[in-house]
Amino acid sequence: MKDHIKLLYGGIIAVIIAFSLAFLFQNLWIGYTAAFVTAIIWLVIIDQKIVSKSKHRAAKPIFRFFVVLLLITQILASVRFYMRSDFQRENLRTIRTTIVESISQIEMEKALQQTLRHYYQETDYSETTLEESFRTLFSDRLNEDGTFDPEIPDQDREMPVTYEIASPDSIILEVSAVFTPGYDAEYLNISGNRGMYEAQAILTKDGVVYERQN
Amino acid sequence: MFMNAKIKYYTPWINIGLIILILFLLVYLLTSVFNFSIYNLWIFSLLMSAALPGAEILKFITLESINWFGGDQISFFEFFKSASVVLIGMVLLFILAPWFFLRGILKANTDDQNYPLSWYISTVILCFGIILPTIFGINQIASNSVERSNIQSMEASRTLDRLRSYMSHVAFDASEWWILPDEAGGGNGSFFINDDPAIALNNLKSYAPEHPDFELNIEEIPTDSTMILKGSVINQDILDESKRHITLEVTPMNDSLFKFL
Repeated sequence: MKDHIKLLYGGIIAVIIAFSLAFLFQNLWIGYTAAFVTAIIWLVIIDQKIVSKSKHRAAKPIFRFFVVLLLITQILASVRFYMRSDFQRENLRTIRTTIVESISQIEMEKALQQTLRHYYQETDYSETTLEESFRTLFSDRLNEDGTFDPEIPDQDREMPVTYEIASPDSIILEVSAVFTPGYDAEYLNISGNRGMYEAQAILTKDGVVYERQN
Repeated sequence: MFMNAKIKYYTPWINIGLIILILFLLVYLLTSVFNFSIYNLWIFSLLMSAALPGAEILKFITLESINWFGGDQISFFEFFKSASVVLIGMVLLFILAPWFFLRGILKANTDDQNYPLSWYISTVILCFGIILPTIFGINQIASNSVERSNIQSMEASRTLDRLRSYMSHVAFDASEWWILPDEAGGGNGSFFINDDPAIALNNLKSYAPEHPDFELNIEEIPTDSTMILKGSVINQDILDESKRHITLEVTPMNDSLFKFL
């Protein structure tokens, strides 16, 4: 086997190169699969170049038995690990998106409905505007940079809400999540991010319209 | 003479079996009898990764998902560390172990059944690479029914979350209807107009009478400022009755506008 030592080095280098795809795509499963396929090819080459030509009769069945068993058990375990990791990730993503969607809707729609209630039931609405009601109720939560402070402080700033007075009787609140992904991975968010959850609520005299943008 | 030759032939394989047995016993003693945590030891991580490289990936993805769920991103260093452990494990398991295993067999053939140390190490690694996934597979089959029940419970909770979200939409519409004046088609501060139970679910734009999964009803007769909505999951096999219904109270006079009961 000393004559075939280059095969050993070649195998190690080939597996390392194949696995480097994990760094390129930032995905361990891609690197693992590429390295696994490369290792199988390498084992077949070893079988053909060394085992098949060996004079030792027992070497062939022993080596093949162990290698085939190893590959089968490892493939089955890897498929199972992959499915489980995928399930865990998707599950946590769904839970997080559901939470973010619920919180952002309640946060924005509640503020706008309180504005609407103030406008219709606590003022002479023929002589005032929705903007006045909005500013009366939420002056302490409106910032000069256009952000709207949440009712419950959001330390992580995961769901920054912005406000826009489109006209005296039209107010828009928008939320663009920092980590939580939306439907479309290519969607350009108002925050400049891509593919994140985004929604807006628009208040007019007819009521509030809530729409999920992504 | 013949017996001696036969015993000599099998001795290395018996030794391998004993080494594996001792290692399993050692892990059992350390973890179960002496309560010593070996799972955080790098040597254990490396050995596990050498026998089951996919397990290290699962560990990393689980950590990554938990971090992400909490609003953090896992550092590149952590990714690099896990990738390195997986790579070392793969090189050991798929390249070095088969190579030294084969070399040992060929050498022993020409050297009167004297297997080198590298053969023992590589054979133990190969055996672990076969035994651990097998144990893992058997364990999975045994726990499949538990896992299925967990998945069902999780799906029931998810369905309930969707119902809660649907009811929130309808509750906001009901609250808005209550706020809007007569001329805008609302209740003008009441769920009644001229003593008629004017609020009807059909007036609310988010309400879907033919919803495939959920059914909504107004419970009792609404008072001036309060309406109770009951949502139920339909057409799904949910055994737990508590995961089938949700009740919500719409109170537009309060700042919360509505609350789940």
